[in-house]
Amino acid sequence: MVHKFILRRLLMMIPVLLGVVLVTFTLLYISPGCPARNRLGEQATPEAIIQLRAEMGLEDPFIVQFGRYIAGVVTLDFGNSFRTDQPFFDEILIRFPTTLHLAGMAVVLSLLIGIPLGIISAMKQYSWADAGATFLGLLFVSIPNFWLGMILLLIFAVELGVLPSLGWSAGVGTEFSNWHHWILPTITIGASAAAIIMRMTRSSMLEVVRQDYIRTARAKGQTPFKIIFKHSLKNALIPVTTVAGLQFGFLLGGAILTETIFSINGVGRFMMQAILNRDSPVVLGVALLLAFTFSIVNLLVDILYAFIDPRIRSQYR
Amino acid sequence: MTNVNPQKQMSKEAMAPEKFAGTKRLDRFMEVWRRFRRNPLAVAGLVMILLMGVLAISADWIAPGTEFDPGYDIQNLPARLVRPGDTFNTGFLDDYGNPIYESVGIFGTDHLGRDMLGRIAHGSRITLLVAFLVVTISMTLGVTLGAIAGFYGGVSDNIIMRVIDVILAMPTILLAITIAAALDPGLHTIIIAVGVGAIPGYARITRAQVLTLRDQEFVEAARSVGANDFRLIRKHILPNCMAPIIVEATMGLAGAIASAAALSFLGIGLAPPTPEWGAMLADGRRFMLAGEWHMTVFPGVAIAMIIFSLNMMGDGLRDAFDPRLRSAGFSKKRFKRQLQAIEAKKAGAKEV
Amino acid sequence: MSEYLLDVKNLSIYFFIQEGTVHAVNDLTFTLKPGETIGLVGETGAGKTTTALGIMSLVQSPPGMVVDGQIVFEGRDLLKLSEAEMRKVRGSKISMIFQDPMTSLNPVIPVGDQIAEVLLLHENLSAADARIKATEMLTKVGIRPERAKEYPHQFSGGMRQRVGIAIALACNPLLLIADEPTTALDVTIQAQVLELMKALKVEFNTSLIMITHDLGIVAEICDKVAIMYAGSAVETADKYELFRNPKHPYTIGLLNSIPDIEKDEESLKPIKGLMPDPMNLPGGCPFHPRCDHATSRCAEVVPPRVEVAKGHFVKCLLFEEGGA
Repeated sequence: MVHKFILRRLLMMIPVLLGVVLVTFTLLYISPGCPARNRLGEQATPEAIIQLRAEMGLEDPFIVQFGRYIAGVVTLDFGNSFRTDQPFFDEILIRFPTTLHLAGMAVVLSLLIGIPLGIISAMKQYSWADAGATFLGLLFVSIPNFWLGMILLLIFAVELGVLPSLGWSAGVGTEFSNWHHWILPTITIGASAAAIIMRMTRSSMLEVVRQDYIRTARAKGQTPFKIIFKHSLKNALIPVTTVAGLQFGFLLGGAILTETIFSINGVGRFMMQAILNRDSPVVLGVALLLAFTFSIVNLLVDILYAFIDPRIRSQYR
Repeated sequence: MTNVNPQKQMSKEAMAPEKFAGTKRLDRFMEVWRRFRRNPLAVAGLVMILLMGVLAISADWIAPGTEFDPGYDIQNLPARLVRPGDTFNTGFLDDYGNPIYESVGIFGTDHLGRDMLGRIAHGSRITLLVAFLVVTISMTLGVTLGAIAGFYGGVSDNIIMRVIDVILAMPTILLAITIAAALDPGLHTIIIAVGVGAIPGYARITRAQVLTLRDQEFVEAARSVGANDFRLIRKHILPNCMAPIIVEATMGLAGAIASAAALSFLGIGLAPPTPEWGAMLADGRRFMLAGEWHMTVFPGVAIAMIIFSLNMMGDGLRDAFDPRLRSAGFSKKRFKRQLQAIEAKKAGAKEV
Repeated sequence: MSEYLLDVKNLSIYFFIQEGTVHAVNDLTFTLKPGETIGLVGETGAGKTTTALGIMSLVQSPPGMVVDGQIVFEGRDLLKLSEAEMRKVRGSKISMIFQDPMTSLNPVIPVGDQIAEVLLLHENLSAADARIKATEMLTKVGIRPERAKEYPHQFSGGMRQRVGIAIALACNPLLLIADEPTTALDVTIQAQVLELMKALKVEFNTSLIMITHDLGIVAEICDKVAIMYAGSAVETADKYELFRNPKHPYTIGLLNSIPDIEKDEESLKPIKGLMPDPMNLPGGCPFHPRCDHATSRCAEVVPPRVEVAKGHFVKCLLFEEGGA
């Protein structure tokens, strides 16, 4: 049954997430720099630093620290930020919706642009429109999104002055009335995803329209419109779904750069600051959160598969 | 899992085992090259990459330096933030007492008066070096792990693939940032940070290929004449799964360049005054809102251009390795000529 | 109007690919009367499938193109019809059964809906009526009606080909084109499907173009035969006439290469050489490099179509008017 499949997949996520925590934890453990010194300042006496390190549990052996963190995670206690001393959970609750909103909008944008363009490009194979779309697709795959963000800022905020240079910094929310704040970040983060989805849709459509069952549909006297939307699209979207799911993960990662450029108070910028401050609980928490989100999205994609493809649906039964 | 299965993208033809090495392999290489050459985008990519190589070689000629003053760090403070085409006041007066103005390099100068063109030229060396090393190392590790996992299966396969799942569960850039932050800054750190995230791609491709190849007759035949596992993998299996690995490596060069630039942009890559393109963008960002567009535009164009070239080349290689994907290229010219001939005949028939 | 349901005249179909021009069908001529069955027989690559797709106007274009000829069906040249007019013909007046049943059905649409689709397109039916008629068609081809909701992957190859037949016959077409409908099936299933086609052909009074490389199938189901070589019908005749009195050296070679239980094994004579590359056909008669009777003229002159007996046409210089 489907429940069983979902449950099994959720259980399979546990070792992977444990691995993510282990990797991140080890990296932080060997990182240079001392959080206690960071908090106390350069003038702190060695005794004070050692005392604070002991209080923070940094003097314990690796395995103890790791075990303590895992034990905390199980009870949803992700520790307090070294810098603000606020619980990680509270800090992330402010920021995660922002990042999710940004990544979600970017995915929607990339699907809305990528899928139709991919279909048109495939349908008009060998035409100038196809050549142009293919070229632009490859171009936007190649432009690093942080540079795209800077160029957009240069054009629309600096030269033309029509859009603001800041995203959701303090006071600017994700409400629709603030659309002019989030239009540039969304394009920045979504452009390459749109290009990747367009390329995937195109090649997938080209593959599908050469299939025998499309010829069967044409032999029935079916119209080109219905051949595309009834017979081809559903089959072509199966691989596109995978890519869209993977893109969501890349978008979450890309948020680190985009949020930095647009000063958006989201998870990515939070993570970046935490890394520079050696704020281990925050780095760990964000890594875990992003890996968890990514795994859940992949699971959703697999479930979506079953809706699209009856062959996979019958495997789950 | 949910990754796109590389096998699906390569047709049987591309995976067809070469049972006779040597001349046949050369023939096949020529065949691939012939198809590659016919693809204008791919050739354009290759040419642009070669030009980038020329730029890297001629960096010392474009911006010569000394032992203590490397070519990329020659500061000229009066010439700070000069945009391309503008001149700057040298502070000197000519014989008539008028200030002397001088022009700067075609890309302008940065906030320390350093020539942007010279820095970009020197930066191309770092970019190409990092990309090459990242791909070489991650490809070696990934292919080895994938081959072991695919060839032996069982426990080793399980362990390797679970580790790979862990790496894949973290967004690449996040992994790179965490690694870069944990190690001392430097070239080796960037290479490790970027390289680790690239291993899973090679491992998965190789594993999938090895799985399909290991039970084929020619491998069995080699085994029956006493080839050991290492020789079997190295001589008989890996040469037959090179096509998708080469494509992945080409795209991997592009990915490595993008990731390395992102790390430097975030300030956890190479330390200043290294002319890493991403680090130059980080400088550019500081002066961007003041309208100093040239510091942002040129390094970015350089990054985008080389990534674009590599991707064009990668696409071209994939098509060249697997002609079926291109659906037997269609000749527009002859098709149109025929169409015109038919229409002309029809028109002629009507007149009569 | 002529006595023929289908009159294919001088049909040529080329594919323009980068490597060269593929001459898939060359100057092909044959006719078919209402209710009649013709077998298009030839090796792989002889242009049989391209001919079928040409009649349906389904040749992938680009790179393919019908460069010459006429396909007169019910007195109209199908090649002159617009795409919209042609869509009304496909599926209703001419329909097609494809070679590989494993790939010719859409994997994400239930089989019942795939049959109902063609009914909705051509018959004035409501969705509910179309569904009822679709289950009736399923019953006719020997599939339980409750399986209409199932997807193609839940059926075996033979069952899927039955679904293909149901789709093709749903609108009671005048002409059915079957492109090697049994090649991909097991031998026992082949016989069943062939029997089914034969029975339904009589029931629906449909003309049939049977594309095959199997002369056994021809003997069983066809009235007349066109032997195809390098995109052209080198010999066309009534089935009995052709088997008893083959003229073209290729036909003779083809008949000789079939093992006959009653004859001595040693008389098996395979045709020497290989089918020519359709991108690079030899000049003159395309068969001359493999022909034992070839003369120097054969390499220069394209043989005309000659009627050697009533309804028996041969394209070979040996039978040229006034010649041998």
